Amino acid sequence: MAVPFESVEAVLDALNGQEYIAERDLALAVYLATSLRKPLLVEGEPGCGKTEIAKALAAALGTELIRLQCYEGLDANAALYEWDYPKQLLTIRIQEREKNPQALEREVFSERFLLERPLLHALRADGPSPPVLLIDELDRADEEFEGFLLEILSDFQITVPELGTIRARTIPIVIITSNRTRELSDALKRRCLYLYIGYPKPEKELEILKRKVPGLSGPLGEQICSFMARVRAGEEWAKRPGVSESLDWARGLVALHEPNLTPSLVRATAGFVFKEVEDLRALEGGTLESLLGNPEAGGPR
Amino acid sequence: MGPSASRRLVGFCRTLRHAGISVTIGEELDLSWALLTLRDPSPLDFRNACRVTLLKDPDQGALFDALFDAYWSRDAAIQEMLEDELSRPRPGMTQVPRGAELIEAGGPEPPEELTGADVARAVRAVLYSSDAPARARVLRGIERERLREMQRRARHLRRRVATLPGRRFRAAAHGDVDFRMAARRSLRYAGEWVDLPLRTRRFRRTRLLIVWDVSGSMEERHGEDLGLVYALQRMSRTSRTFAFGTDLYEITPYLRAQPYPTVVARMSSLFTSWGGGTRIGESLAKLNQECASWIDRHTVVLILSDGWDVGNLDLLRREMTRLRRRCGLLLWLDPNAADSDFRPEVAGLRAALPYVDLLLSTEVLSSARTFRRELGPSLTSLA
Repeated sequence: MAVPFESVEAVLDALNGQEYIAERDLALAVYLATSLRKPLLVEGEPGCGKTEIAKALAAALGTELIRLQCYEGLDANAALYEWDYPKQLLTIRIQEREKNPQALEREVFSERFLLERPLLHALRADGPSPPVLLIDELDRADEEFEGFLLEILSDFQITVPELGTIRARTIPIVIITSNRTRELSDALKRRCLYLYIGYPKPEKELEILKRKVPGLSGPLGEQICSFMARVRAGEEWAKRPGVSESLDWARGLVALHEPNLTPSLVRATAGFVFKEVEDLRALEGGTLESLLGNPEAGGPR
Repeated sequence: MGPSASRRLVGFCRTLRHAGISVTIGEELDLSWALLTLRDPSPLDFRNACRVTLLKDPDQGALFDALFDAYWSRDAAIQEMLEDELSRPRPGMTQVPRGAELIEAGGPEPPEELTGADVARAVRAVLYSSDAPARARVLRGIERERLREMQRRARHLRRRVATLPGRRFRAAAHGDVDFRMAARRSLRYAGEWVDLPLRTRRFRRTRLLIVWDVSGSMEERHGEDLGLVYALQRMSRTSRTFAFGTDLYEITPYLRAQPYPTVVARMSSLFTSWGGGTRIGESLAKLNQECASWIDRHTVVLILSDGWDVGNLDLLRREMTRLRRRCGLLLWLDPNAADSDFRPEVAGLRAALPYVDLLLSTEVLSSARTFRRELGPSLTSLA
């Protein structure tokens, strides 16, 4: 089977081409995951680009992105396949007098009545290159669902009792993300390559902002990145902002045509950065000036 | 990959295991495949390939890096420490098999041998700060029967404080359509689907966050409390355990998937923050920061402490407020609460008490009688 990328540098270039600024360790993890056909489990702070990896990868390879958004109570029916019950009932009603029961049963449990969900769709995809299967925020799903995933991630096949075993036509590139709201099982981790994404360095974040926010001036971008770095270095924030908050804030400031960060401007737009009331309150009393790099102001709480 | 390089990789993986980083044979194979795929990796790519294939817990990242440096290079500080330790006679210690040379790509020679004790010292040097009272203790485990009783009570506790939906369903007024039940009922009406019953999941599971005070005031109870914490940690795979004194450390990896005697031995040798002062507020601040995304309405927080505190009480109140607002249920286990004349008069406990849903004695997991008395009907309404 052809390997999607020739080298780590090729991954870096491909992601770069999709405006995704990747560190070398991330590119290496993607390269190994695509070469070894192993799922890549990506954990990290919220808003640091975990989901974007899958999107950028699919776009770079020109292949389909199949996304399974996990949530509490997600089960095999919603993730794998389901029978189209209303259509089955209707068909039974229409045909029960014309067909014998066995033939009718065979018909209502045929592929025509099978509703493909993301996992089955990924296994049956038959494009020229393998699809990218994104299993997003797996930590939100129940442990039972995690156990159910093990078979699929090991063998890339599933069994539908009425239809038999379905094997993957091309093994999809699997990216699993988690925000670490709970620990994933060791069994699942063993089957995956693992990558942790932290907050980017200010210079890397500046590069991201420049790429993603048209019209952002260099000085304003630098001020935003320095401000964010100082906030993330503080330990007492209820919720530290990620890169997505930086992007939103930068877009907001560009829309307001503001060239520089000032205390009043930060206060007015603090909702872009801080999402907890106690963090907004904490900006008072010299903290804000300190975050803006004024050495004479008091430190963070 | 030649046999010599393979041996070195195996040696590295064994070193990681000695330090408590779980590495399976499958992951070793993954690393071998990764190195073959990368062909001639640079030192940075080699390190990253090792991390991507062998390290599955970011909390062990610093430890992994230290061991990597100790094994594959001559990192000055760690090498100095290891060489110092290696020069001492170590009778009766288990030797890790040889294999500590660099991969054939070239480079300086790593240390000759790493023993389990060397690795433990490297772990301590990397993980624990020097301002904590760094002293290991020989902990005494509790009797097997007592541990079993604690585990039984822990299972009961799990059911009583369950906040997460389990596998089974129950009929409900709101929820998803139960097609199986609907089909069964339709038989009463000659196959007509007259009504569509709904169902929802039963709440049967708990996500527990255990915060254990290992300061000097609790010193006499450390062995007993370790049994309690071990029973609680193992009652759910989604549990996490932190120990605190003047600082906070996660000890979940040391408690998970290990037999009890191994846990006692490992905690004695690896964890050094036994005794010393208590800063509950500062420790909870770190907890709130590090577990910000982990604590939610499904999390039951259980603090095991006597409430003696030398830290900032205002900070303690503030952090308790944050913790209470985020978690589903906040329980406080006090070893003194079983006394008949117990009054919560210690400053730390008094400051924390307004935010606590239920104050229990540590005896609650030791006997069925205390369990019934202390976890009465009131808990149901709280959960």
